[in-house]
Amino acid sequence: MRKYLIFSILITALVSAACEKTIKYEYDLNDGKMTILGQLSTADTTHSIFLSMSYPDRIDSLPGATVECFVNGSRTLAKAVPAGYREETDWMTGETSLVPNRFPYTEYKFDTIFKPGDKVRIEAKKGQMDAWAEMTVPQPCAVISVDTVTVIKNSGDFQDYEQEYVEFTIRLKDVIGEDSFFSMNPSITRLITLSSGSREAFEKTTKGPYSLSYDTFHDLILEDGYSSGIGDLFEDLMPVNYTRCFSDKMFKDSEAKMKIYVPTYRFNYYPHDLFYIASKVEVDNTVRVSVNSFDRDFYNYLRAINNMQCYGYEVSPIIEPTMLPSNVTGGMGIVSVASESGIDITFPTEVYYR
Amino acid sequence: MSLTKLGWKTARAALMLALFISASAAAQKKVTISGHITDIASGETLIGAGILEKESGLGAVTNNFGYYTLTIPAGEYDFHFSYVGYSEKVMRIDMRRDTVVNVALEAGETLSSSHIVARKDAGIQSTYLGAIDIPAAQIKNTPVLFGEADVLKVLQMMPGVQGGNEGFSGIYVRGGGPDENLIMLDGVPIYNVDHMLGIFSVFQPEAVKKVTLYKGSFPARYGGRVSSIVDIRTNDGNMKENHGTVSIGLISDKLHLEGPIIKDKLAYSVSARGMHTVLYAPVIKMVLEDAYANYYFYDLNGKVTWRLSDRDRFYFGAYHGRDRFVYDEKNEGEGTETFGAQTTHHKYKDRTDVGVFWGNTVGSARWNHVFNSKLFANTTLSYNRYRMVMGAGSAETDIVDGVTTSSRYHLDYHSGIRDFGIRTDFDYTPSPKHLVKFGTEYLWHTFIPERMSAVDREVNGAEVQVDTTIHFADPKKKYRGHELSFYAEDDFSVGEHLTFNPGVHLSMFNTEGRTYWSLQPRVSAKFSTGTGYSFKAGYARMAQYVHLLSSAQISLPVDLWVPITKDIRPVTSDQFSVGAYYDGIKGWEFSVEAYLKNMRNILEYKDGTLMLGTSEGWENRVEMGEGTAKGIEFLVQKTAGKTTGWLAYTLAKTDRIFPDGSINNGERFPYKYDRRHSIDLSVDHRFNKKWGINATWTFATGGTTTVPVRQVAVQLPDGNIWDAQYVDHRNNFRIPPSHRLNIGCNLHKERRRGESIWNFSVYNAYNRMNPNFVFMDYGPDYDNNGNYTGTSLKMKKITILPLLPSVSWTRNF
Repeated sequence: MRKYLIFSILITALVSAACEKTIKYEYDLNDGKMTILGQLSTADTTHSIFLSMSYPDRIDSLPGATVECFVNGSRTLAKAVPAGYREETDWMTGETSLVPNRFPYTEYKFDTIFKPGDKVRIEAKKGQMDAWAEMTVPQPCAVISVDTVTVIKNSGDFQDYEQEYVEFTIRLKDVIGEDSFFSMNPSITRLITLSSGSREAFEKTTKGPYSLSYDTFHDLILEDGYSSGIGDLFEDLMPVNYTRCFSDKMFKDSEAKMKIYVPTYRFNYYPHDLFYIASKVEVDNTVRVSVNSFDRDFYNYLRAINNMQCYGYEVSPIIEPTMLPSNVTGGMGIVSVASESGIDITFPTEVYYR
Repeated sequence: MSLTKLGWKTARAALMLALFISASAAAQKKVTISGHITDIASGETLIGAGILEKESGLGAVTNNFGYYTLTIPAGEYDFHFSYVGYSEKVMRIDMRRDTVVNVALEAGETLSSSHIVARKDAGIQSTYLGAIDIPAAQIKNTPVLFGEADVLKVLQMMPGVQGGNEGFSGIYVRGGGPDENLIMLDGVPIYNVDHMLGIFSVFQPEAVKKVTLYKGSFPARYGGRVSSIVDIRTNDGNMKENHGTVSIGLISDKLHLEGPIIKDKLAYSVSARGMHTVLYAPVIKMVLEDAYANYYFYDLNGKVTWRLSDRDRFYFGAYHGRDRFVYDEKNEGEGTETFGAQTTHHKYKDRTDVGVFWGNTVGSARWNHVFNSKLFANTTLSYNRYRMVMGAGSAETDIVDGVTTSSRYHLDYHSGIRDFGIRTDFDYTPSPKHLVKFGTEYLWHTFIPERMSAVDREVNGAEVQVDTTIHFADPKKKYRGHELSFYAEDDFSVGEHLTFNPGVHLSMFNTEGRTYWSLQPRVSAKFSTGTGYSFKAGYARMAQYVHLLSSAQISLPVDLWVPITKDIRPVTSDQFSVGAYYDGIKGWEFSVEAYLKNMRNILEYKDGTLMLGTSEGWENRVEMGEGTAKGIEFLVQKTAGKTTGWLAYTLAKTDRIFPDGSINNGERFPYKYDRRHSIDLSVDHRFNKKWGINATWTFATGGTTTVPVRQVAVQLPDGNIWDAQYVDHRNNFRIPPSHRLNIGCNLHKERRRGESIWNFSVYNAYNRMNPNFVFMDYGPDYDNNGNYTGTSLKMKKITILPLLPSVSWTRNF
């Protein structure tokens, strides 16, 4: 509403008298730069690197490049996914398949295992272009414990109603002697057991985690300088920590206790669509609270991405522009290797009968 | 010789010397001449008028209340009283005891300010650097937009001062931000200084007597902002007879009246200014039957001066100004609908209305008291409120077959700041060599950053279905700030050629249970050769406790003043400046000043932050950093003769750095208003009593803005790839330079009582399309047949103020 009013006034007072003209701006449409993107992790064995070309007016894919990964000097060659496609993993079955690629980039995949302390170099070459990123895999932090309790809380927004939440209290231990940067990603793994009549039917396990969304409710560490996103006067105007990244500046070389809240309904799964094959359904939810540790470059990158997620990916006159950090020499982009650590919390089995 | 014997001999010699000095002092009895200097026609006190005893070279200058004091050895002297634009008056007075002499000067020959060699607060003669006096006449004669004389736009033409957005009235002084200027009306700080989103300032030139700008070695009596002090003094009112001015311009109409209530004792001065559209409301309503939209602003100034005695004077001042925008739309109708055998009669009425107003209300009461010929005091009580109120609502009523359903939704939003203040200043002149100023000030700030509530009511027949009032923010939420300061400074002479002005300003700000203290040393020194040349050097530390959360490059009503917090520390600055000056040619002044300013804890919005929006959590959206500003300023002024004016050139550089990395990846970047070169030329020529012409030409290197330089792929935390615009660093594009010529011509016609003045002026005479905003346009291109031909990049500029002629008519009576 307020934005509308502001611009009404502006338009009334100014734009009627304004005129628009093109001014000289020199650029070279053929000035391309290689962009390397990759979010690698100690938790994965297969990794993807995305290559593209950045121009003043467009992005192009970059097939036919050589992408190599060096771990402590040991080389692994990445294999390109066919141009125009990307690999996608079905979260139910865990099977991978090629799907058409909407955006102009080329994916390169390789298998390797990263360990904390590894020296990693990702290098991409094509013709005269040679770009690389180097980093050391950071030490993981320790997730000491996760306690849960169900609480009734005010929803926090202006509609002002109460609802049930699961409160997770997470104790985290900082990496001693280093500036550390983290992101926290709780996820649900759901195990479903079906029974028909008096006999056991079969077991089915979801392969991909069902991502939890949580509200950071006044947890200063997790908000990391952003708004909590709930209860603000103009919620859509406030920057929210969507990328869930945070630094150790508030618990340097010590422990942090963080609370996150997840509405109870996010755990509920009523298996009505399974009752045609089973008379009894048991649902086991396991929540994994995983914490990724990474370097400052990637932390700054996540914050930049966070800003873009809040207000858009284009430069606007009413938004301070976002600078994208890069750790790629000879090109652009960001490559990180995160050290994952985490803890699993198993919830009581929920039983449903047809 | 033992050390003890030497000590005794020295002590005896010192005793003899002390006795000799006291005997001499007794023989040379000191007496003090003091009083007020006024305009003979109006009784208006003259600020900065001089008294000079030429043989001894001793002199003094009137303070902001027209009061002077000069202590000299007893004897008979010729005292020269003078003021720029007035005939000099010489009075021979036998000074045997302390004497009060009130002097009235007559407007006449234009006197160069270089004739006044006494201690001054601003200009070449003052000890301070970067201090400039701007008389009201200069403001009125400078041609500006729509012929509306404007205090801040004249300030923009001073060296070291830059305008923000082209044609708007924001000021940026020596690399500082728009909220780093303390702008005071009769000593009371004003928060919102703009009308029409910054196209005009709120100060009505008819009510202004003098403007003084400080941007270098600040006097210790000022504090609270780090970049400049703008001290605006208004007319006291004519003590002799009633006079007035009526002015009709393209944008606004003005009325000014002043005169005695009791001759030579009690006078009033009132001014009013209003935009024409305030009168158009009935016409708009008549033309647009179902809708009404209007915008206008107005200013009201009033002052009463009471000269109780030579020792006591009282001043009561008030200012009230508003900008108002309203929109109202109504619809109503009725009809009959038939469905088969059933007929329904339907009647409806709905209304949407939006109203916004914002502005300042200022009140002050001032008491001047002369304790004795050497001690003068001024005590001020002040009240200042800035308020922005916005209301928007809709109401709808439906009557179907006699059953009424209605709904109403209304939103109220307001923000503001309120200050109560008390200040006492003392001027103590123990000898002609010293002018000591000391005093204290207390300001009680109440900040109301935002309050918002909504009423939602729905009624169906007799049943109230919804009746809710929602407070989006705590309706009682306020931030308090207590600002207390003490200061002392001494402007003293050492010999004939050297003057010093050491001072200290101690301030305290308390908010949210935390107290910040700041000790701010100030020092200036001036060396005069006696042949017209002088040299100055100075240092000043300043501190600032309030910030403006500004949304854009123009002044918006939703800009919010907020106090520092326990997490956001005060802004401080250290400024070193040196200067060389020459006023050896009658009617001319030349100066060159260089400065280096370091600023700490300055605020900028973090990368990716929306500048519009709420103040909730504003601390999280800004970052504290450092800034540097350096430059050289040249100024040539012609102050006497038929042709007057000035030429100013500034070479400057200013940048910012935010080491924590949240802005520009922690790298240094140029400030938004980093303009390397600025040239300002102003010429005012009076051909004869009838005709006068004035012209100004300004040139400024463009400021900086941020534009994307390429398209780039980004990877989100979930692994998805997206495309984004890539910016290599903040403020990476320099906007093209701006320059424009404004010309004005005045035709004066003598009338039986007073005169009429026609002003014809042209703003931006050669229609230079100066950029107000620039942006990158990624346009899909099409050929003449509408076929897509690709994407091209275009940098575009928006010009708001092209060539604009104007005419105004003023009648003085």
